[in-house]
Amino acid sequence: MSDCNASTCKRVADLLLQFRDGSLPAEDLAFVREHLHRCPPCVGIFDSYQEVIDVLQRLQPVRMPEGLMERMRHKVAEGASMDDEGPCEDAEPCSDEEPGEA
Amino acid sequence: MSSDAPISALLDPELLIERYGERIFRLARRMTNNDADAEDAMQNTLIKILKNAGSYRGESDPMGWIYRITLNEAREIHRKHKRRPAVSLDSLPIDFDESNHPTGVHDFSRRPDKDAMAGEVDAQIREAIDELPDGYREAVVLHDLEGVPYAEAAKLLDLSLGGFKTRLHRARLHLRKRLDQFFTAHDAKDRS
Ligand SMILES: [Zn+2]
Repeated sequence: MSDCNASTCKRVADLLLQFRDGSLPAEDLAFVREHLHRCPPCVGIFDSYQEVIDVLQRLQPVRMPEGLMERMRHKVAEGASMDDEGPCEDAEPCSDEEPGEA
Repeated sequence: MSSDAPISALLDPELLIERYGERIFRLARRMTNNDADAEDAMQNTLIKILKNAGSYRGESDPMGWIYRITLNEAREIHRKHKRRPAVSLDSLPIDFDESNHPTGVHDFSRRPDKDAMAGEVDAQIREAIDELPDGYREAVVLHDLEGVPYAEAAKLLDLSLGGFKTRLHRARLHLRKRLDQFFTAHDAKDRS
């Protein structure tokens, strides 16, 4: 195992997302590559980090519960008829563009 | 996100559910980790959209707006029914030894029993996602599960690109740590 100084492995751990997605500047890229060549624990972190992303991407898709859309139609109809309070505050009705642009 | 969506679909419950219902439920389900909570979040989201669609002046593709409302509603319900206390991710979720190397690292990516354990691993990951603080859970769900690109996901969460990546990275490292602990415990049980 290499004699990493106090912050080397931590710094590598911090950079793994960008290392993986190819967005590291050349200097940092060389630093991470060089470190992974001589530090098995960091290779372990990186490989298992990659594995987590693979697991996430393979996670079972969401299954639609039976009758969901039908239930929603009813509930929304009920909700609409029960309520005359006017627009609610927290839904940010006017979003990121100037009025009149859409 | 597709852009063939006239705003009129936001005013008509039938069209709204037909066009966006599945995506709303999927996101809510990922965020809350159970069907009943996801249904509640979906119902609140639909009602809120219908109420506010008349004053919607955003982009011609309202998916970002819809996602935002869905995230808010799901967050609300997840908080109310909190099943696990959220972990703290203020620092990097990796332990280091006295010589500053990561400790207790098991590279489980090459385990021969990986496929046989896929079901258990999935359950562990779901639980670990559930215990992430809201913003971290949202980052993983949006980018790693729903495939929303960095820039769009950052915008949905009101974060800079760098801020979003930091959150996503810490969230992934927490999931990594949880799987690491899971495999360690599993192997210890096998040995005893
Ligand atoms: Zn290292």
